[in-house]
This record gives sequence, C-alpha cells and structure tokens, in this order.
Amino acid sequence: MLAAKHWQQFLNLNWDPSSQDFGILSFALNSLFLAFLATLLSTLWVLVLSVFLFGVEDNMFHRPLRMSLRIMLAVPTIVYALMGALYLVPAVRGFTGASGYSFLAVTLTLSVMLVPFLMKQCEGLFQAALLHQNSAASNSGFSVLQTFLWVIFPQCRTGFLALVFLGFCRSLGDTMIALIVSGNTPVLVEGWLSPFRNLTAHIALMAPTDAYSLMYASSFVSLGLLLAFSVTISSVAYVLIFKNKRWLW
Amino acid sequence: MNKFLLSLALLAPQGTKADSCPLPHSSGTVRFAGGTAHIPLIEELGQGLRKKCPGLRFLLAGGGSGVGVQKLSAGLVDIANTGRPLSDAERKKGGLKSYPLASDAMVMIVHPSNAISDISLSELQTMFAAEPPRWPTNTNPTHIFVRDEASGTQEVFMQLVMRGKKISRQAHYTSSHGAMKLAVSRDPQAIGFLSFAYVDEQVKALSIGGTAPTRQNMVNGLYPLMRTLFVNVKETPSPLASDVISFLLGPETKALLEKHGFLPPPLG
Repeated sequence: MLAAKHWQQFLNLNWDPSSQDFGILSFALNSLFLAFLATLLSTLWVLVLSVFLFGVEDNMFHRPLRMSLRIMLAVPTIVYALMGALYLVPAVRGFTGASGYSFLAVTLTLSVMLVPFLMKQCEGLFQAALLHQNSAASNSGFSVLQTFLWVIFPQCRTGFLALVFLGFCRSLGDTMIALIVSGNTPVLVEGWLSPFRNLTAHIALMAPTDAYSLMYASSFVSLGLLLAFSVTISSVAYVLIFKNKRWLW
Repeated sequence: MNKFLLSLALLAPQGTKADSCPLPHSSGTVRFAGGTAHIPLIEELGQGLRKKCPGLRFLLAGGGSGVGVQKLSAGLVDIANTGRPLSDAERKKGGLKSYPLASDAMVMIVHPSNAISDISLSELQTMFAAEPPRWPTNTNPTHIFVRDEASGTQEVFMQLVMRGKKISRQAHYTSSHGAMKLAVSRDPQAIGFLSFAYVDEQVKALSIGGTAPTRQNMVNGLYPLMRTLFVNVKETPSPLASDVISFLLGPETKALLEKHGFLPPPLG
C-alpha cells in the first residue's frame, strides 16, 4: 500500500523523477483537455454529417459516405495513430516550424477517429426516431430538412448528448494515438503546438519501469484516476440514455 | 512398411545435428523479453543456433528492460534483457542474477541533411537542458528527442551526458529505438540518440568531441558514450536457459557481437 507521503508525491502537477516528484495531475488535466476538444471537434463534424445524411433527400453521395464511415469504424486505432505520426505530424511541422508532435496533431487525429464511432451510434438513434415520426412529419408538410432539424433532432437531443459523453470516454481512454503522436513530454499542455503526455500514454510508458519503484506505482494511480473519470462520465451518460431510451432501438 | 521406415532412417543425417549442436540440452523453447537493444543480436544468434539444434526455439519479445524483469520474476520468460543493471529490489524480490553480455555505444543522431557532424558533451548537455533547446552553432531551434523513463539507454544518457542537469521541458519522449529513429529520420531539426546496433543510413551519427562512433574508437576506449547490456535469469534457471546463457557469454558469440557493433563486456 502507498503511504500518505507518496500520495502527495503523486497528486501534484510536477513530474520529475530525479527530484522524487511523481505528480500525475498535469497528465490528468491534459487527458481532460484533449478528450474535451477532440469530442467537441468530432461532434461538430457529426452534426454536419448528420444533417447531410438525414436532413437531405437521398443522393449519390449518401451511399459512398456511409460506406466510408463504416470502413473507418473498422480501422484499428493504431492505424490512425501511425497515419497521424507519418502524415499529420510532418504537416504541422511544415506549417509551424514546431516538431509537429503536439496537442493539435493528437486532437485532430483523435477527432477523425471519433467521427465514425459517433456517426454509427447516431445512425441508430436517428433512424429509430425517423421510424416513429417520419410519416407524421411529412403528412404535416415538413421537408426532409425540416423534419430532421425540427422533429427528429429535438426528439433525440438527450440521446445525442449521451452519445457525445460516450465519445468523450472513448477519447479519454485512447492510448495509441496519444502515445505515438503527442511527444509524451511530461508537462501540462501549454498550447496547441506543445508536446504533452496524457494518463493513458503515461500508463503505457511506465509499464516497463522497475516494478518496485514509485514511477511504476504512478501508473496505478493514473489508472485509478482514469477509471474515476470514465465511471463518472459513463454514469451521467447512462442516466441520459435511460431517460431517452425509447429512441435507442 | 518396415522397409519404408528403414529407408527413411537411412536417408536421415545420422547423428550430425546432435554432434554439431553446441548446447548440452538441444531442444525446447527459450523465452526472452526486455530491452530492445539486444534484439538484433539475439535474433541472429537464435537463427544460427536453430540450424545446429533443430529442436531449439527462441521466442523473442521486447517491451523494455522493466517488462523483461517483471516477466522473468513472474516466471513468464526464461531470460530478461536489460540495458541497465538490476536494482537491488528487482534482484532480491525476483530472485534474479545478471550477466554482462556486451558493451554498447550510445550514438547521437540527427537527420541526414543536417550539416552538423560533431558535438561536444558540454554542448549536448547545454542543448538538451536549454529552454527552448537550440543548436550550439546557430540560434535555430531544435527538436530534442529522448527515450522514456523506463529505458536503459535513457538512464545512461542522464548519467553520461546530462550529469545531474534536468532535461528541457520541451523534450519529446519516445518509447522505443524504432520510434526514436522514425522521429529523427523525418525531422531535419531533430536530435536524439540510439543504440549503435540501430544506426543506419536513415540517420546521421554524430562524433562526440571529434571522436566518431567507430569500432576502433570504442575498442580503444576513446568513445565516451558506452554502456553495458545485461542478460538476466532466475537464481536457478532451467537447464536449457542455463545452456543458452553459457553459449551467449561464450567465445562463439564474439563474432556476432562484432557484427552488430557491440564489444565484449567490461571485465569484472
């Protein structure tokens, strides 16, 4: 078991093992910032795509778009991470002069990975609502766009919010993208171009350390924090889903 | 049927395999895990041994020194590779013992297009500690890459180069030699370090204070960034693991050490 003084060593913002500082709170904050911004960005994309897929009459682009999203959903996270490291990092480096391993690169890669995940969930949500409401709405003279914007989406807004929370948890728990694209610098993120480290990457990096060291123990404290964040967010999402469950099948 | 079996037995090379296999226990599986600097050497050693001992199999995994030690302590592998000496706790709690396998050079690397070809230890120390890091010869910013805290190579870098100074808060941490090489080989402003066995034309090796990382300089003791690689086993290893360790430390491995840019381990 960890002594009280060890908790003080872990629960601060400073990570400097040479000074016996094993603070992981900066990694926790980085995880929350990253998950928030990646989810926000992907939610915006999901809203635009949802309007296009559900608020516009069927057209020649719908099928290939749906197919592409399904293929993207099946792509393992490591592929997104490697694509981020091989293409996005050099692009950020070329535009900014920074190394490219940055908060910006991780946020963009993670948000791209999240879009098909959220779209898949949204499809189920909106299609269930359409099944119940479509005839009534079109009988009332609503266009497809009006039906989606004024009937379907408002009906599903709580369920949509719950899905956004699930997306937040998904990005909070992602390891490979953060580990490969972030630069893993053990500091609190200072800007879009800063390299940084989040909790999941920290756990992966600490696994090979001396199993009897405080560095190794810090990975378990990180795990506890990550679990606490995920359980809290998932609980909120669960309550929202329960409230809105009639649109979920 | 008996004639068929007899002819098969006659066709088989009688006794040659068992005779040429240098291990007393010539069959079974030996599981390795741990430091990645050892991998090219042990991989080739395993391929060579397998030709002589067809029943022998090497299962080789990386994961870093600490992972190797954990797996060995838990009895999940037979041999752990480490790029650092074991801590007292690891040695006592896991019931482990270590053998120095080879001396390895740590090489500072930059992008092949980088004009810089030599750097002193004090310049390296200043550069890796600066906020923000800059090249010693001009004011251009540099992107510095180091290994993660679990790495034996990183520990040696801290001892031999940083010597008590803290690494810049803008350093990037990579989790393997492969990730380090990928990062530096694609960034003209990057500097990092690798085990000598991993250096190839994708990166440019720097000389340190005028001393190039050549075998000659390493043998003469002129190259300053050297470390020892270890292989570790349980206090009472399996007979096969014990044989493999004896072979690894024996004269047959010397040529392979040389081929991979390693030197024999320091005496004592």
